[in-house]
Amino acid sequence: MSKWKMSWLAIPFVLIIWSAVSAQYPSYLFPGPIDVLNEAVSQWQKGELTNHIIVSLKRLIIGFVLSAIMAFIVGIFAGASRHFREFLTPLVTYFQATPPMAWAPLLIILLGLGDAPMIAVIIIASFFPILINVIQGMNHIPASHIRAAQSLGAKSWKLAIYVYLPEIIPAAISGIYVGFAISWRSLVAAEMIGGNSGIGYFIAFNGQIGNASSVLLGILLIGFLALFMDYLLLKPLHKRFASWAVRS
Amino acid sequence: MASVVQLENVSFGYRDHSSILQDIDFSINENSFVSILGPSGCGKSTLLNLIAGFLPNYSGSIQIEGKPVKKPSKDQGFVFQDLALFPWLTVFKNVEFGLRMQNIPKGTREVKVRDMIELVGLTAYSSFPISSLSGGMKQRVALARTLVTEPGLLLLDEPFSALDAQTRDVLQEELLTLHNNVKTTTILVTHSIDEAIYLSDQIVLLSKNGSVKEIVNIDLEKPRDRSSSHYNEYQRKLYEFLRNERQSLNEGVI
Repeated sequence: MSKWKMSWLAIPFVLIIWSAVSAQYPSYLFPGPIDVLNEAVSQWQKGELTNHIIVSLKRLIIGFVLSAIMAFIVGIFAGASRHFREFLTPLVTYFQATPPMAWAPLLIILLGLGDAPMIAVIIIASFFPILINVIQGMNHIPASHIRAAQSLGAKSWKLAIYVYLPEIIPAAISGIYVGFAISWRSLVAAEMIGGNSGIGYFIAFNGQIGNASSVLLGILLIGFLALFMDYLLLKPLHKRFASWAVRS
Repeated sequence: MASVVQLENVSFGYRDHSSILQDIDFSINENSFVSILGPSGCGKSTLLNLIAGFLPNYSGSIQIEGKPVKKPSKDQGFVFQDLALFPWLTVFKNVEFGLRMQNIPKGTREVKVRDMIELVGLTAYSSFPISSLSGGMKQRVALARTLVTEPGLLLLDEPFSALDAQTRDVLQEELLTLHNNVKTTTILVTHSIDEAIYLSDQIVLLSKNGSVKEIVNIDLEKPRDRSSSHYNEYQRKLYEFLRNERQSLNEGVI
């Protein structure tokens, strides 16, 4: 048997507190765990919520992959050129200070109510954290590694693929973690204010019609989906490409 | 014997320094082992970097097998002071790196890498990550990674300086054996008088102003007896040289 861990207590603890507090209120105001579970079953049977989840995850993955690719390319150029880096610095500072959510109304006016403005919010949210980390990774490549690779015959694209890329990946993955958290939260918020689908929209809509159980169900799902993506995508990514950085 | 490396009137300075190396002239014969020795800051490592092609803006002429040196190439194998091993690769993949970059077919590559890892005694550690190795083992990997590509010239930049005395002695022996086996022309930068005498056929003495003071031939049979009187004579001579250089350096400062 595996060793006992304190973390096993965390979720039961929250469930007990939640049950105790919600018992003080009528269930249409503050539903308890059982009410939310019942709501989940009935939503699952209707199938509508599943669609909202799929829509949100699809937006997240498309936006995030696009953003990561762009940030890698821009970051490598910025790492290689001091002038380009100087040009980017004020932009990065500016966009980092602006909540990505604030762009949502403008993007909805510009791009309509569909996937496009949501994907744009995700890109705005995650591009800069990844970019900053890629640039930092580039700046920390030891000169001797580049020289060693050159004296072993590595040139141009091979140098980029076999040396630059693995060198920057640990830093880039830190950026991906930060970018992922910000973009997921921003997406849900953007869907709440101006979407017609997605998990954020599901919460906002049910809030307006006073369905507290669905609102709570939506909130729980946001967290669970984030955990799910973390275990399914981010952790394996880190293990495959960046575990050497922890070891050395 | 044919000379493999030829330096004529080589001078070099970084933009913010007046001059680091001045009018360097010497040539190195095929298969020989040459050390560059001098006081700290005399430009020994810079000279090695010039020969490796890392610093192309020098004046004068550096030729390797008749070809001028302009950029790093696989013909000039380099072992760095910090070793510069790739921490994301295993021992095997580190040693394989150069052959991979040179598009050597997989089958040939694997045989060569396996043989080379065996030669440096690390077969049991082939699949280990670099971070799990000791200093001496890392040193062997760095040497193997460079030698497996069969460079015409092997350049070693103080490779043993970070090791404890015992490991250093063992590795010096191994380097000597390797050199006897593969016969690669080797240039070693070192600040250790003993290391230079023990390993080299010739020692280039660089003075503090970055010029060649003298080239000393070490006419002793290898492997050398560190306690012999001839060995000690060389030691005394080189020690004297370094002491004088240090003294004139101090006078310069005061």
